[in-house]
Amino acid sequence: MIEFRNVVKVYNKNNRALEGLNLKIPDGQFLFVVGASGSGKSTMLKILTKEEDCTTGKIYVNGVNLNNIPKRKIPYYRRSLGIVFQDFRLIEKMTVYDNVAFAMHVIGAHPREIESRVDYVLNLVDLRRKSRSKVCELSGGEKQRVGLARALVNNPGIIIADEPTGNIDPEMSYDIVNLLSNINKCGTTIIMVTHDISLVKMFNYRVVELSNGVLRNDTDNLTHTEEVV
Amino acid sequence: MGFQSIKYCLKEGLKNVWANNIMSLASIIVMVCCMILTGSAILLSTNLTRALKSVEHQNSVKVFLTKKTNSVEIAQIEEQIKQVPNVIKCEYYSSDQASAQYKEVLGDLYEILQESGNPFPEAFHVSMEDFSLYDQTVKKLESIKNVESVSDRSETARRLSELNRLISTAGLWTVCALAIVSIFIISNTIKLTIHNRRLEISIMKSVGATNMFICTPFIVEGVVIGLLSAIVSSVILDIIYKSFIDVLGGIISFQGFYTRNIFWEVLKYFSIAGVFIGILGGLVSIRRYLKKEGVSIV
Repeated sequence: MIEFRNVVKVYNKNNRALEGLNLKIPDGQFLFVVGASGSGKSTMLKILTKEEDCTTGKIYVNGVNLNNIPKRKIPYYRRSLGIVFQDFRLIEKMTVYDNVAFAMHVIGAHPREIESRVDYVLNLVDLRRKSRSKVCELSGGEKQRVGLARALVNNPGIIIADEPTGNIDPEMSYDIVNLLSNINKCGTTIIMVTHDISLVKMFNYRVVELSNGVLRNDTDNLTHTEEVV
Repeated sequence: MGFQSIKYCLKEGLKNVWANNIMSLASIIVMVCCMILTGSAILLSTNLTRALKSVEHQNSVKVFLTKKTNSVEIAQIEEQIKQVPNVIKCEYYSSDQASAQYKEVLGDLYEILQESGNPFPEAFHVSMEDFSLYDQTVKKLESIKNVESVSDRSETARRLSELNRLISTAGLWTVCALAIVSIFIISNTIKLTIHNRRLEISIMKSVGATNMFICTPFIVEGVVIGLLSAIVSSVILDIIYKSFIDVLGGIISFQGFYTRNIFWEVLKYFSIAGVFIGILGGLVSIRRYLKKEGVSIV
């Protein structure tokens, strides 16, 4: 369970990114976060990844107050998250396999464990046959699937996807969200920030809309997703 | 950090050195220059200090005794001089020895001097351990009964001590300045590596790498550059030093050189300095980056 309790984030006097955000995300939920630029979506993710601290309020992740996590423990907290980026953030000179394995090397996993786990996630995102290809040889959709495999490889309980379809064509976008949906069915909580309303409409998941740092709409309080989007 | 992480970091650090080969080479060249200059300064200082010490030992003051001193008193005075602190050597120099020495120098003039008997007093050649303590030692020598006077070499003593101090201080400042330059250079090379690898660092942070894990490859890179520089500069300095001794040995006869075989000793100190500078240079750059720019993930 992720819970934002009256979270306020002020960068400076004229820039109040979040204005008392209250939001509960149960385990295993798929959540779309929509809103215009500057609505506070990215700040919400930054607070969730402990890249930023909130000015006031509390955020609980699986019962742990993020405000109380000491700096040296932040890396260990991040291991419970999988992050997917809009710009893929893949290392071009590495192969698909190495990009995914990199996330496991970083946490000191054993080579044998890395081998079996990377094979498994590459199979899951349907990229096993391209495991030895260089990233520069892949299409946008394939690159994002590598990014997704990397986010999944350490078996996180929560996946945070920051506009994962922002740099790929609509057909591929559907595939990516579909893939996230399949992962969600296995029990992983998914938080996906997006601008693509048409894509959101294709899936019947919870949608929250942020506007000027406050929660404007939440489909959990409405009958249909349509009313938000 | 576990064994797998350490292995991975060492591999990555070595790969970094090779991946940034041009910058690594530039750093090694500059560090080698700094180390050679530092080493030369230290060797020069050490040798000059030794040379001065040797000159100091050769310089002894003369303690003249009163004319009426008999042989028993001379023996007592010798014992008293030997007990004065800072005196390392005391040699009796009789009036006859002085007379014989001056006979050769003065020729006919000596005969005129001899008319009224041997004009030279009994004396002692006294060597001091530390010439900077000249004044105190002379005062103690003068206070001994039947000592007429002590030859005044205080100016020589003062100059020698000052030169010694100057060389030591200049050597120390040179070493400090060049160490700072070396740290700055290594730190800049590693900054470039960090810039080239900022994407990897942001990915590492997003998947939960500890700061220690992120820092280690950069520290390894610094240490490798430091060690390679130490080896190269030790070889070059050894060759330069040996040539210097060979050339100088042919010109002047001086036995005060520190040692001819400096390679292993220089390598030992350069390696310690290289590792220290490498760690410091790597740590300074990566920690600054992680504090300022490297916090961004999403």
